[in-house]
Amino acid sequence: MITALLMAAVVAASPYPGPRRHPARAGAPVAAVDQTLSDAEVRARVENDLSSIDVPITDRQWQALGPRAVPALQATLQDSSALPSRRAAAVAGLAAIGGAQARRSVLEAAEDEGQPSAVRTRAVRSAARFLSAQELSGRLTPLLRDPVHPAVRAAAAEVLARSAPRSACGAIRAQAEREGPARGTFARALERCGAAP
Amino acid sequence: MTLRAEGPRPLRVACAVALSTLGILALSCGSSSSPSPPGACVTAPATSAAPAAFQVVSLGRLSVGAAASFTVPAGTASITIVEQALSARADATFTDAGTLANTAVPLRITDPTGAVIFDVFTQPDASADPAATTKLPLLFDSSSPGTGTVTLPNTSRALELVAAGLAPGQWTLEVSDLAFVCSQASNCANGGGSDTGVYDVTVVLKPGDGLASQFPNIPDAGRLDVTFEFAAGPDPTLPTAATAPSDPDVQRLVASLGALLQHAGITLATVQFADVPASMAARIASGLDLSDSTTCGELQQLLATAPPGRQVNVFLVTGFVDGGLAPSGTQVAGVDGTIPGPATLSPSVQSGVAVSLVDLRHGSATTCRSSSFDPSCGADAVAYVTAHELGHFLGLYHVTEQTGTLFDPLQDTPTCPCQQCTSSRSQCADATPAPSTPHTMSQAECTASSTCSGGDNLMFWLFDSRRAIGTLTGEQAAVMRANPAVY
Repeated sequence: MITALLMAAVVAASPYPGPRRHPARAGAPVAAVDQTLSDAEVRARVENDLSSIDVPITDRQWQALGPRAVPALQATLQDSSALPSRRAAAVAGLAAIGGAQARRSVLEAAEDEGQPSAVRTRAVRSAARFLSAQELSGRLTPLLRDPVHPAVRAAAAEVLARSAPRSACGAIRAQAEREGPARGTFARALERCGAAP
Repeated sequence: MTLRAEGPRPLRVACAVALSTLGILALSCGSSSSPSPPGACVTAPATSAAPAAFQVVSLGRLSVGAAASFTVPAGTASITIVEQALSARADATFTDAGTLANTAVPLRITDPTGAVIFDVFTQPDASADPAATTKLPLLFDSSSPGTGTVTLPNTSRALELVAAGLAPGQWTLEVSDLAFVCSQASNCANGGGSDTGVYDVTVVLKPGDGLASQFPNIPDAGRLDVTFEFAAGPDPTLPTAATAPSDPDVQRLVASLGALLQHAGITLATVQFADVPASMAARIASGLDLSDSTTCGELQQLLATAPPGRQVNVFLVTGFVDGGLAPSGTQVAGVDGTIPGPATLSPSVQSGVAVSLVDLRHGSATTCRSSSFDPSCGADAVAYVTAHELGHFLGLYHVTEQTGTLFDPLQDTPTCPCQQCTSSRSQCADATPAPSTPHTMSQAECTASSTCSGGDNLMFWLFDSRRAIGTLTGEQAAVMRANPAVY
């Protein structure tokens, strides 16, 4: 029934065509703003990019929309009737596009205990894209003791452990102890800090 | 439909030693940038839990480059081949495509007449003929390290072959993975390939119903079992296996998922609830890290915690992240393990899909009060994403991909080509000169006319709450029903 024949010569040396739908994730440089897009096209693309089910929207795609996309993203972020996943996606877009207004929105979302957990954790992670290690320490260390969302505490610990380990690991270890049975949520951060999770 | 709660189960992954002693996974298992040792993080090969009426052929332990044969009876509805790594490197590096996860996929499949059903080297040029993939007997276009699956039929041509009767007799497959393909290819980077992979290979043959219907040999209806795996972590507001049976949002999710699957003639049959192992749930409490796409990645290790059985596993997580600080490319609502998934073989590093449950509670007391499907109701939105990912697991691709230049391999699915369906054609990915940021197809553009459609299809790449109704075509439904997970 079963034959197991070792193939002597499998194929001639032709090129493998590569996958079509799953390109390698590239560390692409910052994209230039696409000035050819009309305001309506920018709004339409924002709408698209917030609605993706499982196709990642890259930084380059957000950055190509430029500052004109910021008001629409801010509106989604503040829209309590919008699905939390869309609001979190808006945070990702704001962080990728950058600029003072966008960054302020991201930081406010991270600290706003009234925002959904998913929005805040995305904002916490996004803050590391534009704050220095010292600034991150100042903004995120208080979130290690966030009274509302355990995931926000864990995300803050991970970001601090990556970006400001020297100043933050002590506080991370201390908070991990306070987490008690939920100490495992700090596993990634503790690994970065060189501590047993 | 049966609802049953299950308690936590121990991990069944090769990294379990590291997990039990250190409580960690990926740190001990390497990453996509530093290749893992051969065999790292893969599960012990699962055996098929297909129904007794199905034929399961275990081809055993085979090295890449080896050929093996199996007998296909007359009237077979589908052929599924699953390669499960016993020892394989983590990735392969090509001079042009870069470093890719070491996808497990046969090199070639031939039928008893000698006709080549599949050859990994002969992917059609979609730019020359967008419908080229519909004419293939089998399309494979997925990343699937560790465990790779192909299921025939998944194209229009394959549905024709099944309708006419798949050639009965001895079929042959050649075991392979991307590292082996690389070692045979002219565009392999120096040291980027390998011919040492070893796989456990299983073939699952689903019998046809022998009835003359729109799709002869493929049953007009079927049943699908689903296990929801909760990874809520310490957040008390999120459901667990214990609370799910009485949680109205979970119940709405299940009911809406069932309604969406009915579009394919599939009845959601046995539904079970389970909890992801506590250490894993805690680790991913602030999001599942997708930065490592190898068998050691968190997604693959999460999928590997699935219970044995023929059910499809839906892991409900709190979101997705990419190494904590990396680019925004992980802001997605769901991910499939592979297209298709290793149906009836669980657990493996590809045994299921992961879906974000962050929307589950949204609108619980408002929009979710209506009896009909409402995409602005969070539970319905999660159901939609779950159905979409299950569509991938059962073999479906996006009807129109993001840029409107790639389409699924089915002829009856509506398409939405960028060049025809957008007013800004110079921005299309296939325009000359190539735009720096290609246009992406919207649901508005793709519900505009009979030639620009598909935006309301379950397998469109977007979920637009104003237009998403989850339609499926006859061929899509047939592909789903032909999958051995459907019985």
